[in-house]
Amino acid sequence: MLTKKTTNCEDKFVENCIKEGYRIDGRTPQEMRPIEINFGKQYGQVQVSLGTTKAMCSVTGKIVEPYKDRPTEGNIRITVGFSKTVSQFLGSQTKEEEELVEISRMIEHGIKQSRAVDTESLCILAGKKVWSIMCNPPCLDCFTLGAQEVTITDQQIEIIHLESEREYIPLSVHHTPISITFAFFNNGDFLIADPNLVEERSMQGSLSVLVNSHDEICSVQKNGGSPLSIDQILHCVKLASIKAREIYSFARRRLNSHLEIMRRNAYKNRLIVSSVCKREIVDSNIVDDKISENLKFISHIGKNFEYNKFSSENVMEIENLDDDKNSDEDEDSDKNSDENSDENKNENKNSEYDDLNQNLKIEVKEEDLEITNGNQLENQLEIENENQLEIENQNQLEIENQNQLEIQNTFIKIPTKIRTKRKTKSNKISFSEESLPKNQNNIKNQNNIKNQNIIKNQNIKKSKLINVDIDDIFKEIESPESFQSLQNNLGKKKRKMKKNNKKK
Amino acid sequence: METQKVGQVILPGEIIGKIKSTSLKIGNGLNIEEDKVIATKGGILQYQEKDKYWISNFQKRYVPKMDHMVIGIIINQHGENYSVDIGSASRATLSIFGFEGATKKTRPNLENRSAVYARVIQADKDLETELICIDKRQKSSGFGPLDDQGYIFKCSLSLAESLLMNKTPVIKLLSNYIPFEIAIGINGRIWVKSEKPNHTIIIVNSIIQTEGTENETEISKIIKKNISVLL
Repeated sequence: MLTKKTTNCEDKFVENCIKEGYRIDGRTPQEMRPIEINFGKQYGQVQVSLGTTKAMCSVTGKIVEPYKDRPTEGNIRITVGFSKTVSQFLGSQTKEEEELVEISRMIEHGIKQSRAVDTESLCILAGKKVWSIMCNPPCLDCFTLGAQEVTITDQQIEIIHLESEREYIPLSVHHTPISITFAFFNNGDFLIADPNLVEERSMQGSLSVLVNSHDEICSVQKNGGSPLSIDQILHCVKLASIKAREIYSFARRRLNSHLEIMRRNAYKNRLIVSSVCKREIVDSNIVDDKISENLKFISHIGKNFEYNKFSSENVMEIENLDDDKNSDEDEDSDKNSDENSDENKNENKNSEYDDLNQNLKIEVKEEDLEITNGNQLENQLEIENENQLEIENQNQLEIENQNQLEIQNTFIKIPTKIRTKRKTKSNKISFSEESLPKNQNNIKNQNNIKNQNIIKNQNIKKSKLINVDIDDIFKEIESPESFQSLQNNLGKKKRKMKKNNKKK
Repeated sequence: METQKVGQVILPGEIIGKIKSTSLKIGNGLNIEEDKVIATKGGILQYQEKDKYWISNFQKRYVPKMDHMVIGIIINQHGENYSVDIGSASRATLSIFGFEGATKKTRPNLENRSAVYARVIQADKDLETELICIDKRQKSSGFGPLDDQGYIFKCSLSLAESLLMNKTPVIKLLSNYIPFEIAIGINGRIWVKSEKPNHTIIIVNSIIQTEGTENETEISKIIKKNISVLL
């Protein structure tokens, strides 16, 4: 929970609003903020935003020796961090650390103990090499979304090849837990889903639930001292499961469309790079001039094929052969081992890229080929003895929280089945009709309608406004008193207006 | 000073013009070096009659200056001083005797986390900023603690300026429909109070959504959209 640098005004106002069923955003009490997902250029990078709070997440992997207890399993590690705009709301450093620990523990429970990721699939050589994956997600609900997407798209390679050489294999993920938080006020009488910054600072406790798309609960965490009844908790869990399903389907669609794009680009990269590599075997004297020519050509191709920067960098590395001996030896070991198959493939590919072939005529020297054959065995042994080979793309992560007030008309549809089962109880839990003041006639009626059928009511409202012009109503208003009288007598006026319009 | 850059976007470090007359009032974001006036912030140059120049942008961090009217949150009481959070880099102090009719026996009982409308007396970059809740004639005239039943929200400094200088007609147009009280602090905090929480939400949202414009027609459209929720 965030410490309180708020004013008494805010706390009381938020409570008063919620008692009457309003929220500062304009959302209904069980509505979530709109979700946006943006993918980075490389695998394993996601930015997720719920409304105006954002979380960035990245997943990276290392090859490491496994634990001696479990020689056939890999590791998953999760680290969390806040940015400075968030830490100003928290006050001291100790509280910041406490919050971070809370969040990371929740995610770990959800992902590790529920076996979301198959750790045995991370094994490369039993007892020797194993993947350890670091997830760096920094906001809870955003996190789990981000972490799951990233783990879904993560790469697995045998001896580290770049994607230009072999296709990446995704991590095997059994299920994706998604977390949804509820805030409660006034000793558990009022519940809200997905609290805002302001609401979160003035809440008295929260309940966060990590649920599957298969309706399995992965973890539950309750912060704060006020008590909740069993009915309330079950109600929250059911709501959470519905929303988790929707979020999961939404995230899946976005992921799949993103993956298609990445794979197409990767395939194109692979074709081009393989054709380049075959032609360009080493003489260091010739390299510099030829490289510069080819780079310009390749970068030109890249624009036409919608390259990523990723691919052009790979081409750079392959060509700077004197600098990186490992890449040198990898390529040559691969080519010499799979000569026949690769040559056949390349002949087919070369027919497609005749333009390339014209510009890439480089002399191949037999002396160099013999040298590489001789060193092949030694180089393979060196690779096996290296325990840690790091992948390049590791990024640092931060959150941004922004406090803005907007009326938002988006919402996630809630099916009516569960509402019919729990009509009476849900009204008592989340909206206490008894506490509504009796003087407000129209607004109370509106609230009652809202409590029961949110979707239907909104559709009805829109249809009402279409028939009556707003400007005609506003012409009659001259002072705030007349406005209040308008509110009370709205029904009559609207009927009059309709009659007038029909006559016309 | 002769410039052609009034109303244009300026980047920090740009030279705006040379000083010719002695009566020149330079405000936010401008500095004088020898003969020239140089910008230290990015934004739009503004000009008011009789040699007043300043730069306006969508900044949120507040730098205290003399005679500014601010909304502060009380954090602590150390002896005879309250330490108040204004939104600047360091906290300000408010003495107990800075209220109307305050003596050693009659002290104002302000709780922690309550809001106060105050005036800046001392604003030096090397010293602590000091506040006071009294007019120059030692009367409250609006200063002092703010009611618990209002709502405080944050906005950019330029919005607060334009509201205080009556450039935008938002408040007038809103007052045609809803009765409310409002207190505006130049440090980007606004306090609003009205009878029902409905109304305060509408006021807050309509103020924020009409930040860039000064047209009455545009503003009235936005207000009508927001109010139509009630109808």
